[in-house]
Amino acid sequence: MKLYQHYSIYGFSNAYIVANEATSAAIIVDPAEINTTMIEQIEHKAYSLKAILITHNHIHHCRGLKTLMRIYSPVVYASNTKIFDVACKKVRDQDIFGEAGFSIKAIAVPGHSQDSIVYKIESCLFTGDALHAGVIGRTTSSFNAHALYERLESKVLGYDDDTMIFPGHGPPSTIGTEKKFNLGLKADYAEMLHQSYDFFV
Amino acid sequence: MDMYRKLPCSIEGCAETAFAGTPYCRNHHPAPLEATKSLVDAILADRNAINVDFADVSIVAADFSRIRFIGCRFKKATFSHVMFTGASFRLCFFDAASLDSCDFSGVDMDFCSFGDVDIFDCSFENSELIHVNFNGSRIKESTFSSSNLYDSRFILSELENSRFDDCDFKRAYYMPQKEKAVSTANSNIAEAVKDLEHLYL
Repeated sequence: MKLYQHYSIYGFSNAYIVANEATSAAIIVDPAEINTTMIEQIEHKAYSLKAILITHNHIHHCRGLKTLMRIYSPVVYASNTKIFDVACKKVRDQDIFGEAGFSIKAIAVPGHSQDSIVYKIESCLFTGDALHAGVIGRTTSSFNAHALYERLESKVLGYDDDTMIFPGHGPPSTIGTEKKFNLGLKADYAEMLHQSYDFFV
Repeated sequence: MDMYRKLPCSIEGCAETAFAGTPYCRNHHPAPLEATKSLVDAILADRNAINVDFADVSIVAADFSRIRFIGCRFKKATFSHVMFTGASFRLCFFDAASLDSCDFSGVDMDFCSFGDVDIFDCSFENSELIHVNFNGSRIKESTFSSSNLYDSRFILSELENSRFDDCDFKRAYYMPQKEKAVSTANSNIAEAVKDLEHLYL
């Protein structure tokens, strides 16, 4: 497995190319922006782009989708059926599917948005905006904050401490570090900072 | 090129990653100390360390100046009096490592994790520390002065007797849980995210 991280100045978000050298195939997670460097990485290694995984339908995570669809013919996976008029293969919680020689697991973690999906490929979690290094995704209500916290706790944090987290924004992390040092998972700390703050549970 | 490639232990059924550039994990390697020495020698000869697993290794007084580290894993590694001066790091994980009297001055570091790391008497001066996760790290007697900390995170870190003078804190998350005798003279610390209400997410 090879992983290429790209930082998009549009929305300050991360896009990832996940390549399988054995099958000469690749996947893109959250095409925030498509630039020549990304195209070159795919073309110079002669990877066949098999799939695009969308963690959630926010523009700074899928803005490059239409550009990619003009060049390649990948299958687009999301929890939506359509994004920017591009038909998507709908994924549901705990779905396991194969692309580019990888076994990919979809984990639904609504909260930041109702369509938030975390994708697990080998020992990597692509968490979109559900979980970042040190914080959890922004939510619009205490109900969504509860939902996100509970989903992360029950479905994501149970993975091995070595599992790497590749978020939609900011630096990478591991499950072990997040369990110990994520503010969004520490209710007392958030309350201490803001008595009336209902953003984190 | 930013990438991470996981190389599994070649013993059937073993879930660990390969250790120190060998086909085996640390548990299955017949002579891990010799393997570590060979690894250091090989890196110094090649000037590159790509997808190398340094987990659990203990290295004292080595000179990795201007070496290129890509996709390396340093989990629970112990480095003492090791020089990384002018080295470059991409997609490297130092989680739960211990760094004592190491020199990272002038490094070019992008998209790395130093979560839950003990950093004592280390220098990160004059460095590019872009998208680096220092969450939960215990940083003592160290200096980050004259460094670019763009989009790096110091959430729930413990900072003691350390200097962040003349640093660029743009988009950095600076929310340490302990801060004692920390200097930020001539830094744009006002631009850092210092509370949960101003997250860039």
